[in-house]
Amino acid sequence: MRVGASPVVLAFIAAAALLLAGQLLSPGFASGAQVINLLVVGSFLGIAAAGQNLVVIGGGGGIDLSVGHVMTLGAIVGGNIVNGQDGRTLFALGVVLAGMFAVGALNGLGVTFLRIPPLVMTLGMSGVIQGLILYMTRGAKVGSATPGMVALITGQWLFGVPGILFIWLGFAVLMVLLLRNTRYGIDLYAVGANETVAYLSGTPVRLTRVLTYGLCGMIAGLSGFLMLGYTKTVYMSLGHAYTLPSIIAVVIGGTALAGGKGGYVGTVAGAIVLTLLKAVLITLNIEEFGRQIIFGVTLIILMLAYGRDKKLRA
Amino acid sequence: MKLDGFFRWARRPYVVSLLILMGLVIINAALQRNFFRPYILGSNLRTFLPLVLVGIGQTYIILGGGIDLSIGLIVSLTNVTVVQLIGLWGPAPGGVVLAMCCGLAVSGLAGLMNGLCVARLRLQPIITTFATGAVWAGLALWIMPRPGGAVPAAYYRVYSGTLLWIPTTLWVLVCVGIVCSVLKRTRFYTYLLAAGGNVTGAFETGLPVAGVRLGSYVIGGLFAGLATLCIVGETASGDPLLGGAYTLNSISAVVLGGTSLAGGFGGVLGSVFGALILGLVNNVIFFAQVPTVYQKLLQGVIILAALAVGGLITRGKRE
Repeated sequence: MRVGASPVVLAFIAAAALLLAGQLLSPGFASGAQVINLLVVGSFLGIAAAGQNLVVIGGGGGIDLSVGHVMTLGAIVGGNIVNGQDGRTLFALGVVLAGMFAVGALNGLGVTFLRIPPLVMTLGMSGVIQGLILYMTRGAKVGSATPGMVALITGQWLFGVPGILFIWLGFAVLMVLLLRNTRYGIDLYAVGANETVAYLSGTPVRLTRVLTYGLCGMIAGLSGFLMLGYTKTVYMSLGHAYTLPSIIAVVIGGTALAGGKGGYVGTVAGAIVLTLLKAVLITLNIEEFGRQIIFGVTLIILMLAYGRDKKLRA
Repeated sequence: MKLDGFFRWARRPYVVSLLILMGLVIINAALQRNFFRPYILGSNLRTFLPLVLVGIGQTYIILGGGIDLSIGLIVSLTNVTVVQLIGLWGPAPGGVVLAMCCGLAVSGLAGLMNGLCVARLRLQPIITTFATGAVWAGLALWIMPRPGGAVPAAYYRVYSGTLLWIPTTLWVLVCVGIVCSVLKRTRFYTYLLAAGGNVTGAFETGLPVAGVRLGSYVIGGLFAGLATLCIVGETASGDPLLGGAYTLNSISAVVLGGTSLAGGFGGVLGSVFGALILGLVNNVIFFAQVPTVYQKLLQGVIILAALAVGGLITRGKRE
C-alpha cells in the first residue's frame, strides 16, 4: 500500500478523522474545552517525543527506551527539591535539566564509545533508573509541586488556554529552529543519513550523538517536571507509559527509524493522534482489554501505511 | 599449533558469557553454602528454566534480524489460556495434557501473527511487536481479568519431581538441547543466519528470506509457550500480567550471550548462559543481603555493566 502524501499531512488528517469519530460517538467530544483538555494531556507526550525524535533522526539504530523513566526521575528530583515552595522552582528546573542531560549523555557515551547498540544501552539504563527511583522513593517523602507550577501549567493564560499549551508551542518553535537552522541540526541529519560520509566530511559524529542523547534525556526530564505541575504529586509509574508511545509518535510523524529524515511537526501530529486514539477508545466505554487490542490493531494498520520496509529486489 | 584450536574456540560467541557465568557460580557458591546440593540446584533450575526457554526463542528471532517485544506477553496469554482450559477440562490428566497442547498452539499462533507482520508485510519489528504485544495483553486480560485459577496438584508435582530419578526440568533442558542441536544443522538455520546477516545478499542468492524469518517467529512463540508450561508448573495459577518482565530479560539474556542484535551472528547456547547469569545475579544480590532499597539499583547496574562488556566483546569478534 503506497501512500503518496507526506506523513505529516496524513497524521493531521488521521487526527481530524479521530476527532470526528469521537464527536459522532459522543457529542461534546470535539468541544473547545474538551479539545484543550486533550491537547494538555497530549502535550507531555509531545514534548518527551521531541527528544526521541532527535535520537531517531541521528540514525545508527538510534532509539531511547529510557525516556519514560527519565521523565519519572525528573519529576521526582524536581518535586523533592521544590517540595511545595515556589521560591525554589527555577533552581529545581535547573537541576532537573542538568541532571537528566547527564543521564542521557551516559546513554550517548555508551552508544558512541563503547559501541553498545542503543536498544540495549537505553534498556539497561532504564533498569538502573528504575532502581534509582525505587531507592529515592522508598520511605522518603516524594515531594510535590508548588502552587506556582500548578498555576503556570494548568492555569489559564490567554483565551482560556492553559499555560502548558503555550509552553509546548514555544518549545515546538525552538525544536523546529534547532533542527532546521542550527549547525547541530544540520549535523544531526547528516549523521543520520550516512554516518561514514558525514564523518569523512568533518562532521563531529561522536559529539553530535552524545549531545543528542543528552538532549533527549534533558527534554524527557523537562516533560516530567512539567507533568508534575499537572498531576501535582509524583508517583512511580508517572512516565512509564510514555516510552513506547514516544517512539510511535515519532514514526507516525514521518521520521524514519533508520534516521536522516523527519521533523518535529510530524511528531507533534503523531502525539496528538495517539492521544486522540486513546480518548476515542475511552469514550467508547470499551474496557481496558478491548482498548489494548484495538490500540494494537490500529497501530499495525498505521504501520501498514507508514512503516513498511522496502521490498527486496534482486 | 595446538593453541590454534583453543583460539578458534575462544572466538565462539558464547565464550564470554560462559566465563561470566562461571564467575557468578563461584560467587554464588561462596555466599550460599549449600549451593551445590541437589535440592538447591534443582530449585534454581526450576526458577531459571522459563527465562532460559524464552531466551532461546528470542535468540532465533534475533538471529534472523528481527526482534520480538511481545514475547513476554505471549507468555501471559498462554498462561491464562492453559489455566482456564485446565479449569474447563481438568483435573483429568487427558484434559490437562490437551490444555497444554492448546497453550502451545496459542503461542505458536501468536508467533505466526508476529512473523506475518514482520516478515511478510515487512513492518518494522520493534513497533509491530509492541503493537501485537498490546493485543496479546488485551486478550489475556479478557480471558482472565484477575489472577487465579487452580491447577491440579499432579501438574506441579510432576514439574518439581523426577522421572526415572532425573528431575523433570533436567529432562526438559536435555530435550530442548537436542532440538536446538538438530535445528542448528538444518538448512533453515543456515538460511536464517544469512537472512539476518545480509538480507539483500541472501535474497539475491535465492534464499526464502521471508519464509525463514517467519519460521523464526513461530519458533520463538513456541518456546515462549513451552516456558509458560514450566511457569504453570511453578506457580500453579494464572496471571494475566505475569509475562511483562520476560520480554526485556530475554533480550538481555540474548545480548549477554554474545548474539548480535543486528542478526546473523551468535547462538542459542550463549543465550542459555545469559539467562542463567541473570538468574544468578538475582541470587547473589539476595544472598549478599543487600538492603531491599538498593536491590533493583544494583541489579540494573550489574546488568548494564555486563551488557557493556558483552557488547564490547561481540563488537570485537564481529570485526
